Amino acid sequence: MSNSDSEDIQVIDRVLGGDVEAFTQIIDKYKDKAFNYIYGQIKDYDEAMDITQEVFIMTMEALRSFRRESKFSTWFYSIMVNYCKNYRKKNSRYNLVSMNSSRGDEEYDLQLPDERENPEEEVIMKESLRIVRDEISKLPDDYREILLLRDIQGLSYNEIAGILGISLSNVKVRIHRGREFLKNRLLARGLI
Amino acid sequence: MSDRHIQFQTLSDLYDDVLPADEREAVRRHLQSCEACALEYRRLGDTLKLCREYAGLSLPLDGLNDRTMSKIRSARTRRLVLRSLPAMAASVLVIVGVGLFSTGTVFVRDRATVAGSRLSYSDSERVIDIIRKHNATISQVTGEYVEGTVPVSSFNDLKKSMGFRRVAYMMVDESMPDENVHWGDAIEEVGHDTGQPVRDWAPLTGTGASRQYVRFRVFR
Ligand SMILES: [Zn+2]
Repeated sequence: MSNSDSEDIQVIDRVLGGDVEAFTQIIDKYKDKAFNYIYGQIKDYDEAMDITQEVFIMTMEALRSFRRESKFSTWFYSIMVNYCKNYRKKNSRYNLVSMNSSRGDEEYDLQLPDERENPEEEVIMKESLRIVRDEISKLPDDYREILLLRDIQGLSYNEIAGILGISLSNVKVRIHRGREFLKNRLLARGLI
Repeated sequence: MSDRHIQFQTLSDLYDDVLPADEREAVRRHLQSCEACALEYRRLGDTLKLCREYAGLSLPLDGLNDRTMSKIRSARTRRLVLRSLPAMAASVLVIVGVGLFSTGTVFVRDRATVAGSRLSYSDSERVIDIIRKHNATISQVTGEYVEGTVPVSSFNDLKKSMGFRRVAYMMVDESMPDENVHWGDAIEEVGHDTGQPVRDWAPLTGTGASRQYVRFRVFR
């Protein structure tokens, strides 16, 4: 177990022992990564903020059922991944996108009608990275999820297999396809 | 070798260094002599470099900590208050998804719909109704179970009214904070013909006269 993992466990023990405020440390440690994943899934900045918050609250509420059979980070990411999955499922505009986008590269230039940019974000995010985020969020569901986990969160193949509950070979295939998809899109947008 | 270009998946594996050593050498040699494949590999590298740049962004998450923590604090307070109320309409229950995590499965918290979870809405309502009739308080409703607390004196009656359900329960002190409540894995099936437990319920936490309540979870 790495240092970072045992640190997590120490904090969790404190939280479960009644020191609820210690949970801030978990939020601090994971918020950037969690947000970048969620923002890739949910294109709206404010919505992504709310969901990030919800994911932490849910993690806190479920903390006692964390069995410590995996790393805390893996467990936390499964909560996050499943939350986003359900959220998109319930939100018809995401269904629309994934239907169109799963047909292939050619169908890709459809824009979401209710897309709205956050002015605060515009200032801070470089144009090229905004395009990267946009194109990631338009990937077909399975590829977007895996790409975010592998190339945004930097998780290992094994961790991803655990989080998604799929086989290693399946993980590999999705990584290949997701990367190829994204590469073609960034090429079409003149970024690479 | 130009008629046998390298497949994208192989380039991706090379990038992640998960190719077998001999294949890796062959691919490297091909990349040195084939411009098309070398270009493709560079593009993959550029794509993933951009991903890393995006991943490294620290977007302004002002107030995220404070807002999250204050929600956590108030949810806890609300739960304690709820528990002290004698009866409660289903509509005002706070529905929290305490995950019963099996590998890779998480039940997502969902305020809007109890339906769609594993415990159907009407069944939850029925359970909640029964619980309310027995002088019990309800502290949580999730897709998996309804949790409540009932005086020991009413518990046997409550159990008999449940019909055939799976229930977990333990003796508690009403003042016992949440943190000290640990549920075992054991679930008892109630509502058989005899009205008797299928087997003895062992893991009661503690004994003594001060523990006069039973905290229970009724599962679907
Ligand atoms: Zn070639």
